[in-house]
Amino acid sequence: MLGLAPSCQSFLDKDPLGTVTQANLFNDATNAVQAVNAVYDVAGWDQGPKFGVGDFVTVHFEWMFGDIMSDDADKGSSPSDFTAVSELENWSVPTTNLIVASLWTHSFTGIARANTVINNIDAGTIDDALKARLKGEALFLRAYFYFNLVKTFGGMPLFEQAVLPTDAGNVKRTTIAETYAFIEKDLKAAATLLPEKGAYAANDLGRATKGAANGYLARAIMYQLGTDNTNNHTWQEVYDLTNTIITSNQYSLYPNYAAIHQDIGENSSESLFEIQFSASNDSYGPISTGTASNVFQNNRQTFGYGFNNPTQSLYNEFEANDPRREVTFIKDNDVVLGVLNRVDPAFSSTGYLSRKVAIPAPAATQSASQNIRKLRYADILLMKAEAAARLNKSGEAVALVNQVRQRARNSTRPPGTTLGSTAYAPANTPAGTLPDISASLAGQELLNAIWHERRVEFGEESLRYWDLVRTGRYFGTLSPEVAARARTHSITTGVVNPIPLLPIELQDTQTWGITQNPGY
Amino acid sequence: MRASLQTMAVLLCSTTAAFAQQRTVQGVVTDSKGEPLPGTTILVKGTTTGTTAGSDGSFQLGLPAGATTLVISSVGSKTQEISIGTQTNFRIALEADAQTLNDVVVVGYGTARKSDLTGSVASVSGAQLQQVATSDPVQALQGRVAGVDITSNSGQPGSGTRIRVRGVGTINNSDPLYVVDGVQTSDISFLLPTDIESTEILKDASATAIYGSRGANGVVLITTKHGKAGKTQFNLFGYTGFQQIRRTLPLTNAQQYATLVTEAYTNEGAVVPADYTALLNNALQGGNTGFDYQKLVLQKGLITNYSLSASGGTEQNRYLISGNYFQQDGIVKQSGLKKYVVRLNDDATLTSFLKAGVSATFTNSKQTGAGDGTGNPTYSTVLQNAIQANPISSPYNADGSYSYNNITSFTPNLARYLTEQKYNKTSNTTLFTSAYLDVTLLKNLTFRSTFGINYNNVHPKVYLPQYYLGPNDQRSQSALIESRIENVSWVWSNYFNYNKTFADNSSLSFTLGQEAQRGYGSGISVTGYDVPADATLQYISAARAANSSIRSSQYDGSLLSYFGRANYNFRDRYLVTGTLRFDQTSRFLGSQRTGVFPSVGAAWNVSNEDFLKDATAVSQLKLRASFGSVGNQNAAPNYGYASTAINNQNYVFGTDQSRAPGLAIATLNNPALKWETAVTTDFGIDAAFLDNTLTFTGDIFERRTKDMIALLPVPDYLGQAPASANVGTLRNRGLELALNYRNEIGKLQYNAGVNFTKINNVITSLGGANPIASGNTQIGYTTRTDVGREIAYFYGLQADGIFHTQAEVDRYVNATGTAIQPDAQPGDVRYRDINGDGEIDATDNTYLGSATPSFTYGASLNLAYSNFDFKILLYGVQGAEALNAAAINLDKSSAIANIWTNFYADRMDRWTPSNPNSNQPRMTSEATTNDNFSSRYVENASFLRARNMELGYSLPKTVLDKFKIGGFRVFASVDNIFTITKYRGLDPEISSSGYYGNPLAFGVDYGNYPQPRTYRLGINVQF
Repeated sequence: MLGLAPSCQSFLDKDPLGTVTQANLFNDATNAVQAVNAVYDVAGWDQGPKFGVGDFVTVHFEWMFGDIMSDDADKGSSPSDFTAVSELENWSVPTTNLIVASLWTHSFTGIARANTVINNIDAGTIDDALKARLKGEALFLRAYFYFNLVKTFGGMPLFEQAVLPTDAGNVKRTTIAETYAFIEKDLKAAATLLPEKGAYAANDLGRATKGAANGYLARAIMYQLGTDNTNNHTWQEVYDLTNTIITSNQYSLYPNYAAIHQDIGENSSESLFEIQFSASNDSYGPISTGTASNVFQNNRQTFGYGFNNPTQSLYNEFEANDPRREVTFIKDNDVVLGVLNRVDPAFSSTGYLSRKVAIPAPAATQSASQNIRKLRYADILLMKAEAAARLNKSGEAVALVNQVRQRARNSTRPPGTTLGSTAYAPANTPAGTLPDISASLAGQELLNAIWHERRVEFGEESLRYWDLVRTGRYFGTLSPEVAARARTHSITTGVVNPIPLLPIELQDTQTWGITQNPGY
Repeated sequence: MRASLQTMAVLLCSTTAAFAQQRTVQGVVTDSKGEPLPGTTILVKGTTTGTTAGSDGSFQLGLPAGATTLVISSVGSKTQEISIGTQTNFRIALEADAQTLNDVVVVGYGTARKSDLTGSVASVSGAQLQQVATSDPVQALQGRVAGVDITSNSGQPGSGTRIRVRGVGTINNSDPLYVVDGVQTSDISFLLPTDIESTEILKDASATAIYGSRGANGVVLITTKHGKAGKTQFNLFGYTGFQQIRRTLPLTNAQQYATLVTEAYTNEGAVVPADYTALLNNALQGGNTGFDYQKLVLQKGLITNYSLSASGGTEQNRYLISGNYFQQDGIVKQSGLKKYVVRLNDDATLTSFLKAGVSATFTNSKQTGAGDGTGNPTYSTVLQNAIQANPISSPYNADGSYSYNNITSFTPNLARYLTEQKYNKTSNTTLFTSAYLDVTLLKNLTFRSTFGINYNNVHPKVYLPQYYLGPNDQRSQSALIESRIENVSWVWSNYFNYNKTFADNSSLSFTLGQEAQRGYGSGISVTGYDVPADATLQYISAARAANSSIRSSQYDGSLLSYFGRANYNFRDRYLVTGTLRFDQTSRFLGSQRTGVFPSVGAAWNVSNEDFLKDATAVSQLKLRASFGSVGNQNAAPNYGYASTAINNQNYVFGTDQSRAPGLAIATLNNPALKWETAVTTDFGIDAAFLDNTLTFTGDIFERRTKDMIALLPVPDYLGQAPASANVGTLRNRGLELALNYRNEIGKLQYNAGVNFTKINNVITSLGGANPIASGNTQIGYTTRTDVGREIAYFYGLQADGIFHTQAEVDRYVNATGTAIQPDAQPGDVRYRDINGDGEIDATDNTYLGSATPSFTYGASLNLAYSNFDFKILLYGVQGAEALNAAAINLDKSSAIANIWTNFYADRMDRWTPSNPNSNQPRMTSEATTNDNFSSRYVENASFLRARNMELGYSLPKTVLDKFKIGGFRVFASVDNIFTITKYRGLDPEISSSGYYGNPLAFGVDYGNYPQPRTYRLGINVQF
């Protein structure tokens, strides 16, 4: 028994087994990269445990906000299926709505993980160049998560560091403008630290780039210009940022519009930022590398639930013979990826489904491989066009819009329009299809043309709702009853256009003193 | 036990005495009825010379010179002195002794006379444990001991039990320490009740402080059955019977259901969803009689237990071998447990100063229907889904195949889901072994070294078959989750015991020791995909998908301790005990590592004072007081001080889209984490009256838990799971009473006992942190833990009935005349405006009761008449509430009607314009406040349960002798024959461990697997 005494210390000193600690995370290049990968991971979570450990959190997809809350799409599926989505669509969202809670929780999980990197990487012993890049990636992602939050919920509590549990409950929301300033600061820092897309190795494709940081910065400024512009941004900034991206010569429009959402279009020349997925057998949670987005939106007749049905209104927006319409829509009896698709009206309120998310059934239905396109070069062109139009450079704006239209009219039909085939058939584009817009367009007419182009170019790509809000057209697209409800949840004073906000989840407002949004 | 101690002393010294032998006497010792008393100690008074009676009660003893008197003593009998004279053959009948206070009980690192204790210790005999039909020795303690609250985790076979000694001492791990034959362990599920000789429960600091950092939640000392010297005794024990559910819930039938749902839509002028109209109309017109899902999943389950043991040996070598088989089919189909236990122990006297022993218990259990394949429990949702399933959709198509229904398809088809449960298996193998060596160093000084090692292997396996019923109810690819988890823990204790008795009945004893403990383990878990359904192919090696996922877990922890205890007994009147223990743990960093746990206890044996010596009415009277502090290291996580990264946070990059693994610090850490301690004060009284026929034990106590380690819920915006921290204090104050009376009327012997426990649990500080909200249900948090109240009380709106008329709605205004519930209609729930601000919102949430009872009680009655015996054991909980979370859907009125679940049948009495006096809210398809979390779901969960009733018949001795058997008893027994409660759920006995082990979900009933009613016939034979 005395024999134990000399070895007491070693008997009692135990290090955690089989796990890396924060102390040595950034002393090893592989671990440091993995710490950043874990931030991206959160951006790809559809559903799963809170924080990566803990309670299950339900699904949230950006199309639930960006498409379904707009005039571009209806909820879809059967009326009683996943009524939490109907609540968004109808602006009757209780504070217990699981979709908004999921967005809230996952965004802050991402922010905490980004903070782990941002605050600890400088002390690490890894190579400085890698350090700079990884920090840039983390800063970009922190801004990405905050941007999703501020658009949906308004001004946010801002965390530069990990929040201490002792501070929980004393955290206050900032204003929308302060939140945007924070996002801009991160994106600017990221743009300095990050390499251009072309500087990444092939197996690092999909990581944040200088172009992505500048693109999101332009997007964040453009959104402020139409909503809360307390930060006094100008269209010139949007113009300059988009111009920087264009002149970086890193990007070009992908020649065939119909292939953008296909495998071949992933991380293509047009891609500034995508959430990356590959099919895996793990159906949800951090471990999964796939997405459930496809199964939610695919046709029930194939392997999906049939959510997010494009509307007749969107259908009608397309000009005659615009090949993009067929790329965006599935109608009853269409052949999609070589398979006949019947659209069951019981599960599609509009009679349409989104073709951009149609994929063959993956091994695990909840885990498909399709990347979600978040920022495309066409968006940069149209953002610049809008800035140019606002800056009275209408000729330049028209030329940019026409670049997008030109690519569109040269598109093929979507892949697999004949049974058993996956080939791209030529589109029916008789002469005069999608003509260039007139060089004489200016003022509101020009803006309308740009907005029209955005709607058809980005149909079912989760941008429409935000575009409507920032251009002041949102409430006009809603039924009077829904609009009235949305207005009760809007910020109207001191803003360019009213900003409708969703409720912050019950738990953080009820228990942790986060101020609730108007009308909840 | 006392007998064996004396025997030991006798044997140790017999060699020295042998030289002086002059003559030999012999005899037989029996009880007052003439039954032999094996193991009785026969000692020559004033010497250490003596012997032990054999299994037939006979003895032989060589008398030293000058021997005049024999002292004959046996446990449970009054010690008798007999003058030797010239007699050589004795027949000695010992009187039964009701003076339980003189029994020797096991205490930490030794034994003590019960009369010498200054602490609060309760004992339960093995025979009592055997009364209830269970595989779980802890569950068998339910209702037996004051201050010990035992709740089944659920009625699911093998799901374990929660035991709380003197209330919930902390907001995290409140499990007591178990010590099996001197070896510390955190779990005793490897034993069966039939393996246990006796159980002692140490409740206050004077008793538990010797266990220091592991004693805060009380200590349960288990003495297993060991062999006794004598010819081999065989004992056969067995029973068989069946179990069934106590009650099913009264739910709506198809027509009633359709009426309610249709009305919900009609009330709002809304249209029933198109995909549902036909089904509802059919049911409304009586064309669909409905489907009884409760019937689908319930069954009568078989329960069987057989045990055979052989024990015996010589004074030099005593052994026991036993084999035990237990099988239980659940009352829910596809759930069950099989358990095999083989025990072997041997105690040997090696030399005059050396004794040694070994024991080994091998246990294998196989549980079906509970687990996730990785070693974590899952709570069977079969019964929960059966209750919620709507009665108009059958799980079968007309052709008998499983149906698919778009409306309800987000809950899986129950009939199919049920069949899948049979692939959910957990095999658990434990080998619990220990060995000891006793060395007598000096006459009064012994040294004991005990080494115990527990090896445990858990092998969970879940197969998830591929199937397709429809888009929402399918599994496109089969999967197999299989794990191997290995845990090893060892305890090595070394201690000296010194015991000196003085001539005036005073005595002094010391215990001084050292102990090292280590626990380590690892687990590996594999998930394979596309595994064929064929039973012989349900193995990872048959997986056809190339990718599989592998996880591992591992831990290592150690504890190094030094401890001492001193007892001084002054003339059997004044007793003082002091204990001190130092513990050092690997769970904390250097400066926080050492915990010091002192205690002091004092007692006064009033009845031994001269002024009471002659009071015949008072046989025993002892007053006790103790104070001390004990720790709870189980509250701390293994590596809570370190910020560790979790892996498998995967993403993909690159043109090849290959998996890019990620590492995240998902949980916060706290390097300053330190011991959680409980400071305990106890005042007690032990008394016996009327020649020991009436005994009474009472204690009042206070236990303050400080530096309580808590995993405080954190806001979601923190983005990381919370760290353990020393926050808060908690206080339990309580009163325990136990009263027992035994006597006989003619041939009728009876023994009646009652025990009563009242504990007042209050959180006294949370270190300034926010109240902790927990107990999530689909309508948000339901419990709150806050300063000034008991742990995890229910917190929500106070419902005040419903508005019966528009006039009542109109009258419900604040001081300025504004409507308090402006959107309310007649038939809506009325809520109390607690804060008086004129509107109803979350700030009106208020205390709605809690699952902490006002008091609990147990009562037992044993009757024996001739060869018949009858026992009844009652257990009651009073003043507890439960949240009927499973009924949130069954009671719903509005928005969550979309979930399409069933209703309680009494929802038919809902408010309608023609039924305005109802107190059931109206039906509506709109989102209203009617289903907010409120007192509507908090129900009275007090209950009185007949835990067991048993009738037995033993063959009389004359018949036994004829067949040369030692004993033969048959019995018929019923568990849970009745439960008196107002609770509307399946079972008011809701585990304190709550859902997924969250102690702050205390009393939240998510649809608990209820305690079954069990009917058994059994037999017990000794030969």
